[in-house]
Amino acid sequence: MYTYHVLLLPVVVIALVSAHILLVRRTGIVPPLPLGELAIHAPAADPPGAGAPGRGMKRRRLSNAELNEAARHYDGPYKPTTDQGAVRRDRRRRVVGAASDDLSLLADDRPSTIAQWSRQMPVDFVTTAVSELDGSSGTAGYGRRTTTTATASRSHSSTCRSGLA
Amino acid sequence: MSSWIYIFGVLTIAALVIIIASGSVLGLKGPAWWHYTSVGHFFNSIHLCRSSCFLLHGHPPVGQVFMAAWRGGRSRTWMSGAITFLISIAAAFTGYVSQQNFDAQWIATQAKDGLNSTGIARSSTS
Repeated sequence: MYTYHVLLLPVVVIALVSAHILLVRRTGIVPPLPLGELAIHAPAADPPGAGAPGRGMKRRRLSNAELNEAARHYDGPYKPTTDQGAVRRDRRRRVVGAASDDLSLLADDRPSTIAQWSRQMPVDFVTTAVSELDGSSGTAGYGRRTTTTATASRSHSSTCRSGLA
Repeated sequence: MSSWIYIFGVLTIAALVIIIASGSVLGLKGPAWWHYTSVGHFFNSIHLCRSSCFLLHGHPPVGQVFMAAWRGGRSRTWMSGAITFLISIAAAFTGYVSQQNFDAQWIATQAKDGLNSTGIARSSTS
């Protein structure tokens, strides 16, 4: 057991860790997961009274294919330099096009807030709030009933009858 | 591209370096040194502490399977890390029974009972 501990297992661990590090260096780290459910923001003109400049954002959704392609090539926010690696990354980003630009914006983007929504689209905000509060929206209730009071009482009485029999 | 979670991999490697260095000293000096001298106790504790850190910091990289870390031809990368983690658990257990004191004897008998109960060590059942 002592030989296992001081020689055999350490040799195996060191060999595997070396292989692991080489594999990490060769393939690089894994890109972010697909962002299909994430809303991508693009700058939009601020409406009057929208608060500080840059807070007005227009939501736009990209397809899963676009997002996956952009994530594969995403290297972080764009920083113009003169080294060749940056030039190659820039070329790749141009190939990917608008999708990659959107992901670059995502890194420093501010979140959409309820206050922002209420300022920019007050009618939509109030309508949604009222429909949620009075239970008329599609998400406010408990969904469609699966049983009625009549069928529930029928099954209850039949159970009682069979129990008595 | 970068990700903060890879810091755990670096911490695991750093722990492995300290484990090997302290373990080499322990192996050269012997059990009388690590049981009965203050410097030996210190190296013994360093070895145990870094072993705990190695396994603790090894968890997040293995858990990256839930972040789909195998994508893009990285399955061998993840599997080599996961197998390393499993073998390091075995290495840690053999370390417990290599202390050469009553604690090691107690752990060895308990481990033998445990393995016997699973049917792994049938030849040594009594």
